[in-house]
Amino acid sequence: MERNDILREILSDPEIMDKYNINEKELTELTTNPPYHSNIVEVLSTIINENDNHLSSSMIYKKVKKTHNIG
Amino acid sequence: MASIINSLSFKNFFNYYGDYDQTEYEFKEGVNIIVADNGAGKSKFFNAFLWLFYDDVLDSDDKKRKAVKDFAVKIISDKAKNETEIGESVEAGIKLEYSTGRYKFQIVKSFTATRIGEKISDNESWQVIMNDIEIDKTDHILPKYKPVYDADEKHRIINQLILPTLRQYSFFQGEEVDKMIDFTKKSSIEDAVRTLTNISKYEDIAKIVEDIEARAYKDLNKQTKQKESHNDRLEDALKKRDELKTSIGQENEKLEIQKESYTKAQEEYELLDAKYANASKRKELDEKISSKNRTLKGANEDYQKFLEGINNRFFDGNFSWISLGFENVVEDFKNKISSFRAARYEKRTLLQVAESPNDYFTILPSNSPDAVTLQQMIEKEHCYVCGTDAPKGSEPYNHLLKLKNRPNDSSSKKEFVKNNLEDFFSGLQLNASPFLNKFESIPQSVLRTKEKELELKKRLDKLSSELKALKSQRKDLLVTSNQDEDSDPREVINQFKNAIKRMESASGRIERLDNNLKDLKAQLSATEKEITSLRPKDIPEGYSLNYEIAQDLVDATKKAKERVFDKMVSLLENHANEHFQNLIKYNDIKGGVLNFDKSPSGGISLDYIDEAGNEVSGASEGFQRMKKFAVVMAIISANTSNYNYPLLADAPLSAFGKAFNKGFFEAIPNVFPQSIILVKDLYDKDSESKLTDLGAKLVKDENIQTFYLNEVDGELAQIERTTKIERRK
Repeated sequence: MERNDILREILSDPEIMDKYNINEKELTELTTNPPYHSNIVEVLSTIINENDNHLSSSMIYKKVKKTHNIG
Repeated sequence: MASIINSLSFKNFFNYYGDYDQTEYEFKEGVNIIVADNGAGKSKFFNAFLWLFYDDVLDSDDKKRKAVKDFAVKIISDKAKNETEIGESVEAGIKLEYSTGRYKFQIVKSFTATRIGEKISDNESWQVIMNDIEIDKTDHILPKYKPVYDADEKHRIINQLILPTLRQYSFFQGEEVDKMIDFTKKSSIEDAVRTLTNISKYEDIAKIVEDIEARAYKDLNKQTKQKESHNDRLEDALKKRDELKTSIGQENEKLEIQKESYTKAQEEYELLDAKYANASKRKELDEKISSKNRTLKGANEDYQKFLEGINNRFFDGNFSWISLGFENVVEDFKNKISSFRAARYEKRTLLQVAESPNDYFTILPSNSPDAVTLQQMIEKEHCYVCGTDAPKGSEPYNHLLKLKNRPNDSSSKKEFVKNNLEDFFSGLQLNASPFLNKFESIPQSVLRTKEKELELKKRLDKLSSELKALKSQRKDLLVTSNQDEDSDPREVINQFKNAIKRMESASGRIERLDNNLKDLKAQLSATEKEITSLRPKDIPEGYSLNYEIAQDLVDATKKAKERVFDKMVSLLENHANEHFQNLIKYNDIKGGVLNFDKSPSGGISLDYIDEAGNEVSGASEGFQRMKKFAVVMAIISANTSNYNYPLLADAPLSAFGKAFNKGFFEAIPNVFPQSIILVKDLYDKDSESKLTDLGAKLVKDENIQTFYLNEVDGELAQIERTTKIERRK
């Protein structure tokens, strides 16, 4: 699926994988659907999914904040 | 399912004269070839698709696209126009049938023109009405076509044949291969990658994460201020961060400006390079035209001189053409002049006898005795003839005197005919004598002269047509390069050098700006770390995490976008090389690879490098086109889904060369489910089959599904010319 591919492509950056403890195997299994591997995966999944739903960036930000329990 | 064109037919469309059923091509999945010489309907076929997709046709005079409604009178077949009386109407149109798996569609685009004036080629002589587009649809299972009325659906059905975004790769003329994808323009490769990837999604996400980062930063600062009223070090670090951000923004702006300058300079370089090459070609053609003009002038003079010389051959004793047909007159003349002279002599003699009988009844020869003897006889007073004395004063003496004084010229002779024609007839005989022995050689001489005339005329025609071809090539050069007749080559060279300098200077600045940005980003990263360490510890973790993740995602998204782009370029490179090797399979040039190189502005340059990594330059035009065509094929084959549209190509082989052509026909079915190739290079008017060797082989090739040969009778007047379609396979 295109959304999962985008998610995996962005998170495949070695620095990100290292910092957020994502290994190669986990990377290939990441999806934009819950349950999420980690916070960064949840944030990026929210952005990818809601962009497809044509939400504006301010609306997406509100949803992102919720994932950090600060919204 | 792939779109497959089943048939295309025409009604009074340019040279395609007659109704749809008289001018129909049927096609199949796979490779279809239409062979036609110039003027035999090749470009007109292509025009049918221009009409179908864009309501345009290509004007072959200036190679510009014109709207069908404005060009309608020229579109109608001349023969059809000529056959339409004033007050009557004629219809011109195209009809196409295609299938997509389950459905079959039939599309008709046409117009009706009513003749209202005398001159058939004048726009004012016709009233044109564009007819509604007729589209019928059928399920393969259902036997009947049903009309489609909805305008949107009609539009969708036409677009579905070849999607607008992919038409540039599927629908082109030979020269278009050059223009199709220009790797010097950053946008060209980006457009291709954009068509093939979801890179625009990455761009959207990059924008969103940047916005989120800015918002997260604001929220975090708000929290910081709420928790701690004043902290000098933090304030300073935050200020420094803002300054660094501003500097990075400014440097990025400068970088974009420099990249733009580089791109512009590179575009100008490529344009001038082409213009420069075009100018040299033009110069070369000018020289050829000038030399051909001189030869033609000489040949024309020879011809005129020859024509003038023909008159002389009538009266020149060496040729004597004037006497042709007078062979019997000679004998006739001989007989008549002989009778004339006999009658004349008889008449004169009779007259003279009557007047001086003694003159004519003498035993002496005429004019005897001679004057000297007579003088002696007078002096001696003795006649030697009769041997008697002739004393002075006697009758014999007087007779001797009379004889001595006798008239001795014919002028004194008395005229005996009313009109003396003797001199006239003698003159005729004298003047005609040189002609008498020429009768036999005249027909041969006339034949040789006729042959000579044909030879000179043929040479003149050949030179004229060569000159015309050269002039037409020159005109094409001007049209394709959009150049003025008088553009100065020196100016082009200066601009060319200037563009190179600008490229070098922009490239240097880009490098410096990149280094600056690296430094600034490193400083920013250190400052961010300092800020994080200085922030109050009691800020809810979510705010810090929110900002940190957003920051990381900004970088990660940018990098991902570049990776996707690079991966696609690399995929294109692999596919292009695969296709290229197939295309040049039968050529001698082997061992090298196509290399996609990134320019400082982010554009991609396409080079052909040998095994040692050196750029191979100076390859032929056909080779250059094949290179680009390989990339076009790569763009299509690199598409994740199968390419579902036909290739419609007008003479892409003209500059490819024989070996390329063979490779081309073998390689295209690997990429295009259906291809319709219109080509003149396989036509050979002198061959019995009208095809070249390769053409004859292709007819038998199992990869070729249908094969047509178009011919036009060039001997006929334009108004009578029609394209005859002959199916060979």
